[in-house]
Amino acid sequence: MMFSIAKLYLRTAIGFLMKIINWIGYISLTGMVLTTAVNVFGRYILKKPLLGEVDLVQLGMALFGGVAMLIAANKRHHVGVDILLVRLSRPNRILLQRFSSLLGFLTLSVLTAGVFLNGLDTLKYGSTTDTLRVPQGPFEIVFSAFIFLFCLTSLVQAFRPEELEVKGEGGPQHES
Amino acid sequence: MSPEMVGLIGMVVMLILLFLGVHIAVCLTLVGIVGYAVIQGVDKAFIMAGMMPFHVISSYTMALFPVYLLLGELADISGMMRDSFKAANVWVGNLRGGLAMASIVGGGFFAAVSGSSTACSALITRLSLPSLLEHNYHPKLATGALSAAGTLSNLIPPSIGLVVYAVMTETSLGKLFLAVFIPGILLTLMFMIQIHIQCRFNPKLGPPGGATTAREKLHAFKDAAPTLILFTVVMGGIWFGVYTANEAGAIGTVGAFLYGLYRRRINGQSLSRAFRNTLGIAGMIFAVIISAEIFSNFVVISGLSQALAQWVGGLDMPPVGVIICIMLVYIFVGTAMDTLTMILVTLPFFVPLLNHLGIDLIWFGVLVVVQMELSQITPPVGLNLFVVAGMVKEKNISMGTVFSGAWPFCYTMVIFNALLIAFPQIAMYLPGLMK
Repeated sequence: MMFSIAKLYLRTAIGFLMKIINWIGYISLTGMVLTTAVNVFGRYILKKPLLGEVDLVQLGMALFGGVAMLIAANKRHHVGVDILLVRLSRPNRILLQRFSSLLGFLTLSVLTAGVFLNGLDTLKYGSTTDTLRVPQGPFEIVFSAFIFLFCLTSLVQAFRPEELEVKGEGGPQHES
Repeated sequence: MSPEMVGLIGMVVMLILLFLGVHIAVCLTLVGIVGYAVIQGVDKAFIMAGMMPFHVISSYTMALFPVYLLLGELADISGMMRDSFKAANVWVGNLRGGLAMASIVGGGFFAAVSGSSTACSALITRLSLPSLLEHNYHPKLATGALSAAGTLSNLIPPSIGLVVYAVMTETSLGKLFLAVFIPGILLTLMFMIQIHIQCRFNPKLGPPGGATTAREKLHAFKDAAPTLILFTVVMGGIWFGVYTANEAGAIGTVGAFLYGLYRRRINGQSLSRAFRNTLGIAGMIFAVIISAEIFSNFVVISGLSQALAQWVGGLDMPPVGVIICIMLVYIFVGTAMDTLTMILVTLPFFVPLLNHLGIDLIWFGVLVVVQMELSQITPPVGLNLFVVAGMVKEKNISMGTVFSGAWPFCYTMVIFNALLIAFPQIAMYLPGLMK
């Protein structure tokens, strides 16, 4: 009973978190598009280009990129070669999918640690963007947080492989 | 162990993991980090792995992906594609095989505002399959044309495949966009001629549709105008140096959004879906590109690509011979591998070789994109074929029919690629005029 209540709370919390993350993605993407468009408008119509447009887009990409990768992982938008996978029996497919997700978890753990430590260094040395002089460190640390969530998603998927969710034939890993 | 040997072992391990179904982003990152650690030491590999993701993602060039993906999504929900397809139907639908040709032209219109091959095939299939079957088109020709229509997506700018190529090879995206323009038009015409010839020899393949008057044809321009205007704004701005490729994408996205609002075709739900799709696809591309950059670093320090360049240089083979060999490798690999995977795995090896031989990377980019699209319709793993086959399944059209329908289009694309190799000016004329 306690377990199922805790599971329900966890699910609600994850759902809420994903909603917020989605919104961060929508807002950063809209921000990047508008910043770029306003810069062109300012340059040709108002004869006054937007200062630091490139900086803003780059920082927006740090947020958008992290969110996008997390969402792609969550939706299982992976690119892979399934030529062998589709020829295997279902239990073997499940096994390979678990193996793939676990390998993903391990690799992403290394990346998360690397990006986080690099972010701390950036923070320490006070690296900033070229024009607006916005510190890059905090953005890099936020980015590492998204990779960490990406990493956790891989771990969850190792326990819940695609095959168990799809319950169908084939290993539809292609997404383009 | 020599770095080249580590590189070779890394390559083999990467291919094994890839064929075991491990996601490409994981394969490339894992092999890249481990290989780098073996050659340069664990500390340096860890630093490289920590720096690359943020360095790659926070670059201005990478913003091209979400911007152009969103442009395509907004152009779709604002109904531009549907209207353009209607216009294409009016223009050529009355010819023998005309409805199949209209699917190709519709694909060309879709390509003018979007860069996703599979999305194009899916949309064109949804729009034109009912009328193709209603007019008794043979399922082979119908499904072949629908699959082939998608291949134009990366050959008429903007194209996501070209953005990937530009990011990986650090070439000018504006020049690449211009370079594929004439080839894109040429391939559209070649597909139409091929359909015409097929229907001439076998009239049962594609009977003519209903006749349309000159007035109706003229009137149909109104439907295609928004797509043509948007395309002109995006590409014209790049050509005349008014704005960069990023800016062109942003202007196009705002334009498509305003048009959708004006036509009252955009609502909260469709907009949210467009953003969600953009996030999902961009995220997948980002993960793969970051991993490819990590892998590329490993390939560079292993000296494998330089060794390959030296070896090919020692063969005394003319550059065109090398290009033909690379294209043959792509044809072969493309039958078993996803196009994005194929390009990202091979470019770190081929680009230093091409630089060594003095081959223009813009021209090669066009050839690569044609090859990418060819593998989208080459059985047995062409992704467009799966998309179309999935959508026509309920009409009792088998996968085998879709496969056999695609072959004539594959041959046309091979001839087309041969033409591009023989006459590089087809691709290089417009970039040469760029301001």
